[in-house]
Amino acid sequence: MTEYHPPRRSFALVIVALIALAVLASACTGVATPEGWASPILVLGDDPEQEDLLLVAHRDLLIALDADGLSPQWAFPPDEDDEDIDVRALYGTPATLGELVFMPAWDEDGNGTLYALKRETGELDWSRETDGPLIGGVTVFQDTVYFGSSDGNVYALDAESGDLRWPPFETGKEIWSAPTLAGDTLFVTSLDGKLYALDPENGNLRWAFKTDAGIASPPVVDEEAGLVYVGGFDSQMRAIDLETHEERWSVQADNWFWARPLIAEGVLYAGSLDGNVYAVDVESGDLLWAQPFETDAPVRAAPLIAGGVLIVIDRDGKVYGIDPDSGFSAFGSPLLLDADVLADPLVQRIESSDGEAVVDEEVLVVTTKGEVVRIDPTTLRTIEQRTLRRQ
Amino acid sequence: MDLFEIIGWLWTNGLVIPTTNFLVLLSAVFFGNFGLAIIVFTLITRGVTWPLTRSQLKATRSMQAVQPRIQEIQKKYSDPKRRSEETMKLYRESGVNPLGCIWPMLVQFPIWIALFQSIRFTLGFTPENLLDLSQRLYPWSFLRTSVPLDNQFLGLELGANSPIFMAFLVGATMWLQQRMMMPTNRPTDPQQQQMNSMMLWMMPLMFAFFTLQFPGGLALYWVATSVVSIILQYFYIGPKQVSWRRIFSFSPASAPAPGVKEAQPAGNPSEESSETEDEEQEAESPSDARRRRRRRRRGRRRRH
Repeated sequence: MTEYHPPRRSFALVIVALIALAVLASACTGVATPEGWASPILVLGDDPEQEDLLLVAHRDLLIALDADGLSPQWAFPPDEDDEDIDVRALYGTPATLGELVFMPAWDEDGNGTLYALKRETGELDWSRETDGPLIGGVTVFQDTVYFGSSDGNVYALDAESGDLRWPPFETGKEIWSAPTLAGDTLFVTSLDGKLYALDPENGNLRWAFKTDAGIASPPVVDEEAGLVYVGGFDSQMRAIDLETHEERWSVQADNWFWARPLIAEGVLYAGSLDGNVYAVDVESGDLLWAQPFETDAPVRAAPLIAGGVLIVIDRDGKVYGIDPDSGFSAFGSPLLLDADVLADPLVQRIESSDGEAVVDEEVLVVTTKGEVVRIDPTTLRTIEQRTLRRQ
Repeated sequence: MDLFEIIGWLWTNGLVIPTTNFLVLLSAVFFGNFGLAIIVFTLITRGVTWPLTRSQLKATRSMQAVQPRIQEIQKKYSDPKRRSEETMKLYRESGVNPLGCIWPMLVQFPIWIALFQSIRFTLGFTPENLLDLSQRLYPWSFLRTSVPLDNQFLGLELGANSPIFMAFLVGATMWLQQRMMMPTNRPTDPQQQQMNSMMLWMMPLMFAFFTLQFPGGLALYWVATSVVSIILQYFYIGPKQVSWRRIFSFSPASAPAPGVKEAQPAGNPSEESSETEDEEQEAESPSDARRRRRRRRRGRRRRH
């Protein structure tokens, strides 16, 4: 006969099971933590005496590195225990104007703040808070800073003071991409699925184009072809005519477009979350390669061309060198980084001493583990790898 | 592929991904409102798991009904083996399965956890969440284009940490649900009383505390689940037998479940009412009934 367990033990079992459920549930749920994927930028010195800086972000930290030796110059927030600056994650690519660096941030309180920092020291000059996290990057022109917020608004601020240039322009949903300024028009994409063309002087709407789903990648303007390219969650890369404001062509992928496309010599290169890279003739919209280049994981990071090779990095941290003409791999196998990559890579061009010619090019990648990797695009080998630290 | 990988694959592709896609589909159907999708999903899952819930409710009430007689057995027999045998006999005679109230709950656990994971994926609170979601959606354009979903529902941000009022709602509705399930009679065993008290107070307090760590969407799911359970219990017990005054009076009395006779207070088992016996006869097999009648006749002869 089966041994009988008294009822109090059955109750205890139930309680233990429920506690186990709660613990298990807490382990597999909880509120997701934003990690951040701000892309690095190079800030050139104004004169030969001034050092070039690499601004590199990891999670909630922005670090200015000496561009040559990658040694840390300053960090923001300067102090981990600083209660006045409560950055949670950095997604948007920073920008510089004069002696200021503009860094969009997702704050601990769930809002977003644009920080204006002094280029030399990283000290805070001014800041402007918005009602939603700042995921997209910043665009600067003359003395104005443009950015969008998850509160759905487009902001234009005076670069010196942080004052509003014009009342925020309201879109229908969050803005997760950087605005693009081309000619006399400011282009903004929004998760409401629209591309907005604004007057940068006053924020007035000039025209808008509606797609079938949200857009999280920044618009890319090709003034030569008279087109603006927009890729979105409807899995389509569209070319919108700047004159007629109508779609000229579109390319359908099997998943969303989130990465910023690259335009080079009349060809658009776009990575998709379906793990493919597409090459499209900007005039006709025809696919140029026999078949899209297939990676092993979704592509979130923007492609770039360096050393005559199209460099694409997938989410798993595999770096591919592709022949931009044929779409075939330029190397035997991809370079494997030991962490995911979501931030756009950066090309660092080393010029001759007279500044007349580019003598060398490097690709700089920041992984989600906070590793800065310098890659030789001609061999697809790692030149140097460093872990980001404050000092 | 080893066993763990197979289980993981089945878990993800058999439960989590279908649930995620179903939630997105519901959200698309209900005007892009994810809060409404969670509530409708709760109604559907509670409907699908109703047979399990009903057997759990029945088993719980049956267990409560035989508690006084179990206590008598415990008092009467000091030998653990004999006690065990007598208790098992009682369960057989009463048609009660001691694990009947646990298994239906355990079966529902995977569904709950899969739902928790799905809600987390679907909310897309962070850009990384949304990237992950893009890899879990079926390649149907109406699903892919309906993302990102609206995270707001009645002022509640479904992807962010739950506010305190949601923790209170989770605790209160869970308490009410537990309270309706509490036994009719106050258990004589102090340990039993302690267990009941723990179930009544500790569980809601614990879940209220956990709510503060969870996204608002999960809190909404818990509240909806508790409210649906309260309604189901209300109709299962029978509207006339639910005394709201008793429930909110913090006294232990409660109405019995239909089909299960209310247990008699502690006393001599042979002095049970004939009504109870009749009901037990309905539940037992013919051979058990014959044995019981023989035992009763022998008992009567001894008394004479």
